[in-house]
Amino acid sequence: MNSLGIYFGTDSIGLAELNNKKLVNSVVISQGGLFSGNFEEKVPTDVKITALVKDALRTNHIDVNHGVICISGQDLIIRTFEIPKLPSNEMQSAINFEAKKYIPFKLEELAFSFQVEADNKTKLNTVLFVGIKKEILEKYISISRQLNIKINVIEYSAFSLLRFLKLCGAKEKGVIASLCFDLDNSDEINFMVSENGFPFFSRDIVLTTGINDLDTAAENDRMKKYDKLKNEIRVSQDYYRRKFPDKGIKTINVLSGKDMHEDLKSFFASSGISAKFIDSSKVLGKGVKYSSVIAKSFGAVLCKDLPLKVKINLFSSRVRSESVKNKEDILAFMEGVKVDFKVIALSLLICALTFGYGIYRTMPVREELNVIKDKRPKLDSISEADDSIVLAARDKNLKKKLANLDSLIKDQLYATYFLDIMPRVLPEGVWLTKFVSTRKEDGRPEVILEGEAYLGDSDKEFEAVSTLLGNLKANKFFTSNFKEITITSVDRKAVLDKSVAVFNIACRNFPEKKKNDNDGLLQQE
Amino acid sequence: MITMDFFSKNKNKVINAGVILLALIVALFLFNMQNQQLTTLEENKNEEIKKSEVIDNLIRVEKRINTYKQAFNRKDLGSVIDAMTDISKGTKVKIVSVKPGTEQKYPEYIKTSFLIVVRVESYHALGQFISKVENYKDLFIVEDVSISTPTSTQLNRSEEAGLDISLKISTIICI
Repeated sequence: MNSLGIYFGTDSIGLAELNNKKLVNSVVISQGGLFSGNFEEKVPTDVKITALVKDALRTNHIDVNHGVICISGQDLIIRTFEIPKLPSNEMQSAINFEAKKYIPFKLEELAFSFQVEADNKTKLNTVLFVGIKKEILEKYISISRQLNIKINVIEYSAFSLLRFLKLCGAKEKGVIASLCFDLDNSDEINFMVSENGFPFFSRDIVLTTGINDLDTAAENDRMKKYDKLKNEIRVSQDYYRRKFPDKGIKTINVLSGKDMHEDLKSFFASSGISAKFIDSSKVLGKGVKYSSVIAKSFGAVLCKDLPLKVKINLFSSRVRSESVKNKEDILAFMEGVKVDFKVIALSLLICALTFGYGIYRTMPVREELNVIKDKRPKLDSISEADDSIVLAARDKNLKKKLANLDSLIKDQLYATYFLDIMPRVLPEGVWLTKFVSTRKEDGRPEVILEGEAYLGDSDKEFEAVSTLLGNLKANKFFTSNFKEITITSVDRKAVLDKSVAVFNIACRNFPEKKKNDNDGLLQQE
Repeated sequence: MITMDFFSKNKNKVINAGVILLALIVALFLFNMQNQQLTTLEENKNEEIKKSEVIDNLIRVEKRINTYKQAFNRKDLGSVIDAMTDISKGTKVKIVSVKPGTEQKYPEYIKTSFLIVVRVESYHALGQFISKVENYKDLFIVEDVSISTPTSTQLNRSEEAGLDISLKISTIICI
């Protein structure tokens, strides 16, 4: 995706469309026409600039939706000062206090950002402070909105230049100065000194500042502009030496047109500075003519791909200052506010009464709960953690066990009862040989009666067995305990030359369990 | 702007009203919180009541099971012989043999059988003996009675020879 770098210079606007660090399109728009009276006076400047840029974008077929803005030093306040080392929570207020000394208007009117560079040798913090008047910043944001270009970074153009120099291969280590100028246009000249990539001195020089100057033949003379530039460089060097006597400049990276290189080399050599001339064509491309405006807009686009040590973004400071403003508004509103003691007392009373009422309501239930717990008998096999469901399950199991044990005793068919009943139900000539009392797996009782009959006549013997069955079925004890009383077999066998009938009677019960009221039956029997 | 002016002019009143409103919100929050607490306490109380009822039941059931455990203790062959000898005293029953039988395991108890052979003079004596066995202080369950008297005795209608009875008697051990 292509990105756009927009440089709002003193005299012209630069547009650089980049795709993966390569220049796709570049436009330099002169702002001279804006003030020549072609537009209606009532039209705001930002609308005029927007119209100019929109036109340039359309003409050059530039279609991007996000970009970066860099601004000339003319719109900014850039200061460097030193403060002692402080805890981080005190830093902001200390910088605000210190910055006020260097700014000709109220700090509240500015959107600003700063970066602190600690110096362990001197135990001082060097603060690079960059501010912009809020209305100017809003103007640039408004332009970007009207252009439908999403902006996340607004920075000082000299920082964009540092990025451009970095891309060109310029070294950052040590105290390095950089100079960028273009005598073919009236863009501001940037002189900046940085130490290990952190800029601490900058000067923006404008050689031609007005329309009148442009009209004069003398100002149009490049050589005169060049002489003026050299004078300005001397002034900058002198000022720098006075301010930072212990940070001598050894090297200067010069970004300019090629025609002045030899002269500048000797000029800087006379000051003991080694000049390195940056070949911008390596980055801009062979066919693109050098322009400081393009170099700055190009450097601005690289803000994400080629980060600098200095990370001052005025767009972020705007967002931050908005939140600070909100806080300040709240504080301003709260200033002078007095909360009535009676109101506080009433509020506390409301809360206390509610709380007290709650305690009053819960107290009896708590007491009841404690009483229930205290009264409960202690059982070693029960844990406090067991809830009623666990206990109920245990109770159910124990009850089942108890019921089975109870059934074993209560539902037992005592042989005594049978032996008591049998003599009365046995007909003449019939006797019992075996009595088996068993219990099925489901608890149902089963009784097997085995016996023999001898009456000298097989028919009478069989009849006697039938009579026995009839007597058993008529007996209340048998009928109440067994649903099924049947002869399972009748046979004959010979004993001592006599034939006797051998029978087997089974007394069974159906699956339904029946309570055996033995005691009652015994009494009846 | 009008709203802001109103707030600026009456900011003390607004703040005081805000403090009372805040107190009311806090009070409402407290009230709701304590309502929830009360509901939880009521639930806890009901749970504890239920728990107490279940524990009471458990105690009763455990007590009865313990009674069974004490009554249904393990009996060895010696104690069964002693019991049978004790029971047969004063009856016309002679203990012929006592042998250990099988052991059956159930979820709640173990049933141990003993095979006992006795000689009785008559059916009446047998009835008396079995009645005494079943009414003995320790639990004995008479499961099997086999009368192995010769059929000739019955045919001759004579009780002189006596009756040989095989009994299967079981005891219970509560687990």
